[in-house]
Amino acid sequence: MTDDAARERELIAAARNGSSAAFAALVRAHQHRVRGFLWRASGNQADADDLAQETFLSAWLQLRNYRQEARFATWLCAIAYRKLLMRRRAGARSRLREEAAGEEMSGAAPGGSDLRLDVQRAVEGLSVEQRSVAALCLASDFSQSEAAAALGIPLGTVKSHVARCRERLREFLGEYNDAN
Amino acid sequence: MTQTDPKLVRDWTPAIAERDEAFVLSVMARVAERRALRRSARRVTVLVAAAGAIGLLVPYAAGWLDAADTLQVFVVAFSLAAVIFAITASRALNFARH
Repeated sequence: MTDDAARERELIAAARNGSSAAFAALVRAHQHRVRGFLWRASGNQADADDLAQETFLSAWLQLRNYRQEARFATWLCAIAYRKLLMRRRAGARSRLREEAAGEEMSGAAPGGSDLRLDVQRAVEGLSVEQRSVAALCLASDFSQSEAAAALGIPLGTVKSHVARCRERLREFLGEYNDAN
Repeated sequence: MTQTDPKLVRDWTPAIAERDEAFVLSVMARVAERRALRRSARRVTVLVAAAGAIGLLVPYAAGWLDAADTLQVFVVAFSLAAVIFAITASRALNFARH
C-alpha cells in the first residue's frame, strides 16, 4: 500500500468517527477529480459544482457504507454519476439551464481555445453514459473496470464506449491538427 | 491517444483548481448544516418519545386507563407520530437540499 493510500484510509477512518477535519481533507484531495468528471459528463460547470457538493454531502452521510473494495475516488464518482442521472431525470428545468449553458459554452467559452471548443463539440453528440466513460477513462486516471464499477455498467459496454469516444475525438482533434 | 491524454484533460475542462478552499468550505458548511439538522431531529424525537411515554404511563398508573385502552392509545399515538415524523423528515430533507 502506498503512503497516499494509507493516509487516505486513515482519513476515511477518522471521518467515519466524526472528524470534520479528516473529511475536509478528503474533499480537498478529491474535489478536482469529482468536479472535473461532472463537468465533462454534464457539459455545465454550474450544475457540475452543485452536483459535486451534493456528492460530497452524500459521501459524508454514507461513509459507513463505503467498504473500501474500490478506490475512494471510484466510490465518489459512482455517487456523482447517480446524482447526475437523477438531476437529468428531474426534468425540463435543468435541461433548459443546460441548453443555455451549452449555448454559452459553444458560443464563447470563458478563456476557451479553439481546441477546447472542438473537444466540447466532439463530446456534445455523445450520450451522458458515453461522456462519463470518456471523462473517467480518457480524461482521468480510471481503468476501464473502475469506470464500469463507478457507472454501474458492464465492462464490455465501457470498452465499446471508449472506442467510440476515441474515434470521435480523433476525428475532431485530427481536423484541428490538420487545420493548424 | 494514450489512455489518459494530458492534452485532453487540459483542453476539455480547464480551470478546475487542484486546490479550491472556497469549494471545500462550502461543502463543509453543508455538512455542518446537515449535522445540526440531524442533532435537532434526534433531540425532538427523544423529547416526543419521553412526553408520549409519560402521557401514557401516568393515566395507566393512576388507573384511568386499563391495559387494553393503554395499548390502543399507544398504537394510535405511535401511528400519528410516525406520519408526522415522515412528513417533517421529508420537508427537512427538501429544505436541506436547497
